[in-house]
Amino acid sequence: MKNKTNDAKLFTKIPVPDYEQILSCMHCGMCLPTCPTYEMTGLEINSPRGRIRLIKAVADGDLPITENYIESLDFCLDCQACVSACPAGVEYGKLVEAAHNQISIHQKENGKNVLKTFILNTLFEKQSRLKLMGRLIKFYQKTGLEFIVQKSRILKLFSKKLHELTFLSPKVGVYKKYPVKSGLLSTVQSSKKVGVVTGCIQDVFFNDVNHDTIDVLVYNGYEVVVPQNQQCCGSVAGHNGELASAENQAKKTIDQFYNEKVDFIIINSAGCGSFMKAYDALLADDTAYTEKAKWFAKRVKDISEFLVDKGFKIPDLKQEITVTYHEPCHLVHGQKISSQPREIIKALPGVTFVELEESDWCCGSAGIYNITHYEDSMILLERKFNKLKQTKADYVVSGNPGCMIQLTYGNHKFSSKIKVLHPVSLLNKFYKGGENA
Amino acid sequence: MNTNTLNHLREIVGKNNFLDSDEDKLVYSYDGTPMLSHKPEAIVLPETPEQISKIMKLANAENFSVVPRGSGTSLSGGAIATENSIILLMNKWNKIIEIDEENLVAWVQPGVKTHDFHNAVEEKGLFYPPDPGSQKICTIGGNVAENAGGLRGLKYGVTRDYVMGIEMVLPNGDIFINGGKNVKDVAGYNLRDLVVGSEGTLGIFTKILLKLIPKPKASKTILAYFDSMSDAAKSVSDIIANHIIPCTMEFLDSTTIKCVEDFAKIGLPLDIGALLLLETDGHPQQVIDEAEIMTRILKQNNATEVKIAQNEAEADKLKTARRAAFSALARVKPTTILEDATVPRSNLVALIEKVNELAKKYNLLVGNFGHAGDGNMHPTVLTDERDKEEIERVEKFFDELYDETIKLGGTITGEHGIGLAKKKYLSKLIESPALKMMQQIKRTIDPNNILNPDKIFSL
Ligand SMILES: Cc1cc2nc3c(=O)[nH]c(=O)nc-3n(C[C@H](O)[C@H](O)[C@H](O)COP(=O)(O)OP(=O)(O)OC[C@H]3O[C@@H](n4cnc5c(N)ncnc54)[C@H](O)[C@@H]3O)c2cc1C
Repeated sequence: MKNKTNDAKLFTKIPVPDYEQILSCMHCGMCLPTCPTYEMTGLEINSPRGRIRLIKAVADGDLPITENYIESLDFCLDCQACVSACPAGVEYGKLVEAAHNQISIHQKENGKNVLKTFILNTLFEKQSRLKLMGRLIKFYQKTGLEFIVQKSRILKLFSKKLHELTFLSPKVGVYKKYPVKSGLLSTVQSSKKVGVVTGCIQDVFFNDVNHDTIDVLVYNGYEVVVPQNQQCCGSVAGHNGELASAENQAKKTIDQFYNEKVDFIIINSAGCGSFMKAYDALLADDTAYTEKAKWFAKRVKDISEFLVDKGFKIPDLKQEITVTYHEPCHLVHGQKISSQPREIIKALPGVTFVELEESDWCCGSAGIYNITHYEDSMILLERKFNKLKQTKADYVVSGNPGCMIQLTYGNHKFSSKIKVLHPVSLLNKFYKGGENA
Repeated sequence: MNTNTLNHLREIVGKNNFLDSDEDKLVYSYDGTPMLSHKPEAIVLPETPEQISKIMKLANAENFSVVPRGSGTSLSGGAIATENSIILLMNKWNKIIEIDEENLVAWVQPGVKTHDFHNAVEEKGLFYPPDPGSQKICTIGGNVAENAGGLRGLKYGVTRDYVMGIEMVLPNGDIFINGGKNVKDVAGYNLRDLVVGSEGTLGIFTKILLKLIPKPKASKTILAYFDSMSDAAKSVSDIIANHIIPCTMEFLDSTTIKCVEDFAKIGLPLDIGALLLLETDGHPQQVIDEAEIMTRILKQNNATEVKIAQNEAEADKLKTARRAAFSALARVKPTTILEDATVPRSNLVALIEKVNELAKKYNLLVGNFGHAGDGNMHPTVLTDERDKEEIERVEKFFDELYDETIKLGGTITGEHGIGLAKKKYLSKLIESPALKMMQQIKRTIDPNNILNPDKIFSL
């Protein structure tokens, strides 16, 4: 007897990665050269085509959920470069999310993968906890405790991963609260009302990027509202198969913006944007939220997408700097947003834009991948820095907190001094008139 | 396969180069061919020709089969495991050993990806023309084994035309090199030509010497739209009749155009009957002249629009989109079964019309595209393998199409090989004495039939 999983719901629940999706993979191999994990290992089990074959075997009941299966899927960066490359249009990302969900249910039943579950369920579930950790990090950075911890390698006694994690955690600046409403009196351009997603990681680590986003929108004439006490949008949990958490977080987020009746919902984090644009599919079965989720998903815009789409003011200030652009996977592959951030950079007076070779090759951040797969992540980061060094740019711009943390860490690891900025922060530097941009 | 043999294999290659988990077997059970798969007993990654030699000797002694594999993009089942076999994985042999600019040749390992090799030689102003649609991932070893063609075949020929020497391991474990850097060499039988296109059945390539040419100084890429497929096909023969050999003349029918546009979003019109993608290259003046004549001929043949790519980036986009044609057709239906019918160029119109006629007769959805300049078409049936009744009609369609292709003086495969997928048609095409000679050669070189057995033909 085959141990048929027959979890029909698994493949219809999240954005319909059903059996038809699996079958539409014709295993032609066009995805292989775009897959970082296949490139690293040369092994089919670490390729999109291979993973789909394994997902099919599990769906068919030919393969139980095994350690190797889990390892293969966990090793996937979810960068979705294969999705952009797939001529047949197979929605690999959705298949993998579904598979992760299945794995996570399986693991919970077996009490496995403590580190990941702790991070996902404990840290991201409650913003206060993440904030607390951010505060702690800030505290020990400020007090010099960080130095002691890193030098003494105390954490290394517990785990190599946790030791490196302290390096990975970026410097946290002074936390500034967000204005509930701003730009109300603006008569400049539009009376459109936009809501800003302040997110979880951005909120803790990139509070300044959130403020830049608000400032830039206000400067361009929008009425900006920021629902207070926002939580994680659910993407971290969702991308890792923790569907129930993801759904709850999605609903909370939707409610916060729905009540404000905004025209657009602006996000400065690629991973979150990509996930929120699919809220409608995530909550398709939840009748109380189907309509609201559609309402929400339709309004979500990445900040660079929004600015280029609606037009933005060209700053007066001129600054002679060289800037390059690293594409967050969840912008370029997840949302097909690639030209817009470049357009913003190129529009800035005095800026020389240099293309980064392999700009759309994953930097290895990939959500919490740099924690769960530290060594592999560093191989990717090194590759990225080899290319970055070729550009000789002063700035690398990238619109995703995960990439920004990873790139900042890369500076430390590969002795580079390239400054890491979010595109909206670069733009705001020009608006504000420099501050030694 | 017994545990002893597996352990022995593991010892030969080392435990890190030996895979035999269920999951690994699953992901090496297929290549790019639809509807065919078989799990190997193990996957081994040898690191030296000597290890391969030991593996072959063990295979003879223990009576298991060895199936070489590059990137597994074969479209005829060449890299699929057979009964009681192991996969010999060669894709990590990916070093370019030497680019000899004086002799215009390069030694490469078989696992070098074709496009990586293009990039490496083009950096030196040199050119390696064979460019299969799968160039970004397929390996030189796979190309040599399948004698792969590509988009530039019309002017520059196929892989065979660039292979000057091969180091290989024979089924009995002997290692030798045939050929070399000499432009002329007629010492004895040309063994390297024998193994080019042998589909991994006669020897395992461990090093390949490739011919290079200077990179053309200029090129122009032209896109022409047509209402009728025959007009497009007629343009192809007219251009050649005008003594112009463009490097590329690719054909896409309306079904294929729609799928490609859906994927690549490059602004192809969705209401046309066919398009041609053409490229001329060479000296700048020659390119200008040829582009002009080609444009005129295209218009004379009722092209509704003729566009010239404005720069290399635009040209690249068009060619990349063309390369996605086959896989993009899977957007319509889950199973895409493609053909590789090739006819003398003068019969191209007849072949294209035949495909349409048979598609109607068997009530099948067919997308047609291919290397029109080579007379090499890939009519692709869009179907669903779960629909048994339709699959029966698909088989009848192919049976009749192969018959017709042969009647037109054509061949059943232009570049993908026979492998497993076209075995049953081989005897229709090849006269019995020739087929016997092929089988005799195989028996002589591989008496125990252990190297990729049952591919091309069964013994
Ligand atoms: C989207 C797509 C487009 C394609 N376009 C073209 C095209 O335009 N023209 C064309 O000709 N083909 C084309 N192909 C077919 C395929 O890519 C070629 O046949 C290619 O040469 C296979 O290379 P590979 O490395 O994937 O070989 P594999 O599929 O791994 O193997 C192919 C054969 O080579 C043998 N082999 C591999 N390595 C060795 C070795 N070292 N020694 C001995 N035997 C070996 C295998 O046993 C097998 O028989 C296309 C395929 C796809 C999926």
